Amino acid sequence: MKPNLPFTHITELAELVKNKKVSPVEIVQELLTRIEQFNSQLNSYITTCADSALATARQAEAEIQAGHYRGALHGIPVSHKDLSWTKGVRTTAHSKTLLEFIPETNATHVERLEKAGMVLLGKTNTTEFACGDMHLFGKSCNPWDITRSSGASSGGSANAVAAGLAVAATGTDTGGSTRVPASFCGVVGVKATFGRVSRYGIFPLSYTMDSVGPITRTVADAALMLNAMSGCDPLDSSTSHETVPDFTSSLRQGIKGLVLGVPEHYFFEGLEPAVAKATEAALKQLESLGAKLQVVRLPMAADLSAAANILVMGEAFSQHAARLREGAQGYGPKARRRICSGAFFSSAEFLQAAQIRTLWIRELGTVMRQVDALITPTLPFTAFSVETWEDNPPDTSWATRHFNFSGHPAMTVPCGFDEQGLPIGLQIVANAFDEATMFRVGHAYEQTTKWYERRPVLFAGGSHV
Amino acid sequence: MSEREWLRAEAKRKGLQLSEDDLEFIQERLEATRTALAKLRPIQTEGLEPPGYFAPSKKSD
Repeated sequence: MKPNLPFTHITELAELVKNKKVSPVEIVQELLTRIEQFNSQLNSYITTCADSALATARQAEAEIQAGHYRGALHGIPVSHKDLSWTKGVRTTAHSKTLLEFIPETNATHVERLEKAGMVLLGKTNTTEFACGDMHLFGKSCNPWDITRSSGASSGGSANAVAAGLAVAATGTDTGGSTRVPASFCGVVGVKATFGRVSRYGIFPLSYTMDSVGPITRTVADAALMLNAMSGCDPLDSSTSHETVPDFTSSLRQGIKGLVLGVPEHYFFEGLEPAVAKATEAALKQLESLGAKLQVVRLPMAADLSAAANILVMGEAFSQHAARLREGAQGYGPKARRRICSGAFFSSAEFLQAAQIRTLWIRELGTVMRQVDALITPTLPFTAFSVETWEDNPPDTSWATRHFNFSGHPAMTVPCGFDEQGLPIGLQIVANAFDEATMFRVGHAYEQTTKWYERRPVLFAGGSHV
Repeated sequence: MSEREWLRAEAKRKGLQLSEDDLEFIQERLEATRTALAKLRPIQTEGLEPPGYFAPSKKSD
């Protein structure tokens, strides 16, 4: 029986493509059909590259037929968040100020995935400059319940993968913007170690906390993409010279004997009952797979929100100052107000925030030296309504900003559903540059629970029962 | 000078065209952030390890 290609994960698609059982053209065509059918409901895409995607897919097909197979990503479609430059394809950052902007070059991670053979399918929806509203191209909503938010700012990438409008996507993450929508939409979202992946060619929000990473259906898919995206880049001086291992090579080693830190307070307090139940079950599952759970203390975890506000918006203002002076009213109100707030903190306040950050890095570093990974819920709640997102959303960076602060790699994997059928995410945090352990834990958990096999009923005819 | 007057003057000085609604949002955000920050003022800052991202890289890096 022919697989449902838009819902087939990369590793399986790669086998089909490599063995010439499925053409990249076929995959692209099926995705384009679904985008045409469902994008107006989900608002996953700002721009679809139908013609060029088919042309690139045909080229990939010809290369593979001729025996020039580049690897597992060859011929696989990818969708990039519309903050990332894509050569010749408009990149709007969901901003009125950039509606006509067509980059002359790819962002580094786009270029690297293209060289690996991936086929650009389109540009996905984002909040304006990753911190505003989705006021121009519609709000991306949750495929498990379209009255709910997909989360942000990488909402389009996450809901596209979840609903079968993409097989792989990228997001950016400054305080959780890849992990939060991935959690809300029931897919995998990765923030790598700061410096692992180049940020060249991405509209910046915070130059000390921004990251770009994959959003995929499975952990193995994310590891494959991160392999291609990672590495030092002369165009981004913050990138590390650390060797990039093959993140897939240790996936199947299991987690017996690994020490997993479980924070005693904060991260496991105030959870919705379904989230508490699901994460508790996940911890038991990890233990049953042979991991050793160790209670750890992170007393500063509750104290980072104000410092994050100052640092992120202060850095964001420095990036946007010139454009804002040209015409602040060209920005949407939310982006304008949030970014401009960064202009009014004093240098003493900024430095105090930096001191808080340093204390957190020190506290977390002490804990991480004792464990192989840290486990937390990704969020204390499941997806809230689209209206709540607009009016007065709760703090969605509640468990995620901590690792943008510190630079540690962090990934969300699905770990269940609540009574309304909304996904719940589990966050796995590893030591710096140890994404291999992060993937190993996530893969072991995922393969023994299979949450990724569920599909949103509305868009797949599948079942989440 | 009131906080709002200061914000208005500072916005003008910075060349930012911000509406009164913009300034109201910013003022509320600044106040909330400062209140939260005041509770966290480190007791000791001497000897605090500086963040590593200011360190220069070696020639071989």
